Amino acid sequence: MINLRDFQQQLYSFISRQTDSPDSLNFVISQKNISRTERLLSYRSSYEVGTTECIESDFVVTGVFYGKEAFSGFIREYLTVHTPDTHYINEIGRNLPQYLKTHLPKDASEELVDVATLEWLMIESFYDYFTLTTEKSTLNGPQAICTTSLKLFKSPWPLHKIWAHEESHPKENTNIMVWTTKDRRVHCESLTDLEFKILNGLQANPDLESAIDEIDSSLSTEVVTKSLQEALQQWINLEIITFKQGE
Amino acid sequence: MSKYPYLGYGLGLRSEHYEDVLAKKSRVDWFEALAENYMGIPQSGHGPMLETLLEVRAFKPIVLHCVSSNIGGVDSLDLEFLKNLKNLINIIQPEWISDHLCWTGVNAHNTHGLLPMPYTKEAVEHVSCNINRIQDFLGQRFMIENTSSYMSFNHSEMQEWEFITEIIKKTDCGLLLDVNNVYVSSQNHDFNPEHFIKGIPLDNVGQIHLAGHQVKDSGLIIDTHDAPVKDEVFDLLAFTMKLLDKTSIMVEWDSDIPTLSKYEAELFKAKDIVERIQSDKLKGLPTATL
Repeated sequence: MINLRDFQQQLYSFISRQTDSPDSLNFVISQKNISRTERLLSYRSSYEVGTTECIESDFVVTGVFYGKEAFSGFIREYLTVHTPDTHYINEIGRNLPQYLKTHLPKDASEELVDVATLEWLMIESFYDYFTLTTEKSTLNGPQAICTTSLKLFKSPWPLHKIWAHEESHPKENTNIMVWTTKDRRVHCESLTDLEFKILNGLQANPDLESAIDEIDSSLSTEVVTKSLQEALQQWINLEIITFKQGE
Repeated sequence: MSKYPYLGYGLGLRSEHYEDVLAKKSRVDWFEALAENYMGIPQSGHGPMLETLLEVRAFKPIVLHCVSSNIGGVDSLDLEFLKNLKNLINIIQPEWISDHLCWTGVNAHNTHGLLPMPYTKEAVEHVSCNINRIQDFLGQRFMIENTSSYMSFNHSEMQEWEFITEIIKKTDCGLLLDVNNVYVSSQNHDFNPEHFIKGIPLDNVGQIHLAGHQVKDSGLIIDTHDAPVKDEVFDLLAFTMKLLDKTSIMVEWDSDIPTLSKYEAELFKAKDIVERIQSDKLKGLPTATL
C-alpha cells in the first residue's frame, strides 16, 4: 500500500505537471462513469486556473503588452519554475518581473519589464496598506508620515500613462509613485525630481525639518520649503501622507 | 450536547460588504473571517483590514476559518504560520478556529487547493498528531471541516465519516460540518449522505457550512461557492438538524459575491428550515428516521 508521503508527492507531481500520465496514479478510482483522468484533471485545472487567474488579474497591463493568450502560456511556464510556496496566493507573482527580464520574447515591447515591475509594486502597495503598521515616531517636531503603501521608483518610461491608457508612450525618464487609499484603490502618478526627493526623504524620516535639511544641499531651504508647502496639502488630500504637529 | 456555544446564523465576512456591515445594516448574528486575510503579507501587522475586523468584533461575534494549516500534509507544521495565527487569535478573541481536513501541498510547495486525504490508519495517526500539536500550541480546541472531494483512493481503509470519527476520538477536536461538502462528495463517490451524517460524533459539531455548487457535464460536482445553496443541500440540512441540537449555521459565498441582502436571503432560507424543525421537535412531532 502506498504511504502518505509517496501518495502526496505523486499527486502533487501530476497536479503541477511534473508528471503527465494519470495512469501512473492507479490508486485513484474511476467510478460512476467518471474516469480517473477527469477526476485528477479537476484538481490540476483548479490549481492552474486559480494561480493563473491570480497572476492575470494582478498583471493586467503586462498581459496586454505581452499578448493575452501568449501571456497565459508564459504564466504557466513561470509557475513551473517559481512554484507557489507561501500561504498567500497574491505573493505568487513576486518573481514574475525578474523572470520576464530573463525570458523576454524576441518581439517584446521594450517597456514590458518595467510595466510588470510597476504592477508588482501595486500589489505590494495594496497589501502593505492593509497589513503593515506605521511605526510611531518618538520625534517631537512636526511630522509628515508616509502611508505604508507608498512605493517610489524611477523608470525610463512614463509608466503612469502607459498603465492608465494600456498603450505605448514615447520614452521619457519618469519618477513614479504608487500608493493605496482607504477605498481600496491603488493609484499611480508621476512626480517631479524634487517631489521624488522630498517623499523619499520623508519615507526615511518623517520629521519635516530634518527631511528638508537632508533633501538636497544644492537647493536652497527656501526652494525646498516652498515646494513642500505646495505639495504637502495635496499629498494629505490624496492620503499619501498624514501630518502630525508633534508634541 | 454540543461542546461549542450557539451563535445563531452567520455569514462569511467579505470586503465587498465591509461598508454595509460597519453601518450595521446586516441582520445576521455573527461572522466568519478568513484568518489568512488578516494575517497579511509580507508580515503580520495591525493594519486597516485588521482594524476593520476589530470594529466588527465590537458588535458581532467572530469565528476564524483557515485554509493553510495543511494538517494532512506530510511536511512539518508551519510554525511561523501558527505563530501568526496565534497572534491574530489573541487580538480578535474568536469564538473558535477551524481549518480543513485536507492537505494543501508537499515539499514546501503550496497548491492553494484543498486536496483529499486517503482514509487510512496511517493518515488518521498523522492528522491526529498534527491536530493535537496545533491544539497544544493554540491552547484551545481546534475545529476541522470535512472537504468536498472529486476522487477517492483504492488504498482507503474506511469511509470518510469513520475517518473523521477516528480523528475526533484521538483529539476531541471540533467538527465544522459542511453539509454541502457531504452532499457533493456523496454524489461524486456514490454513498448515502445520510449515512455520513449519522456516522459522525454529533457532540463535536460546532458549526455548519452551506454553499452552492456546480454540476459538470460528466456529472462530477464541483464545490464552487459561487451560487445559491441547492435544494438537495437544504434537504440534507433538514435531515441533519433533526439529529442535532442548536448549531451555528453559516453560508459561504466566495466567488461572484452577491449583495449583502441577497447573501443574507440565502442564510434566512436555512433559518426557516431549522426553525420549522425545532418547532416540530417542541411539539413532539416525528423528526428523523434513525
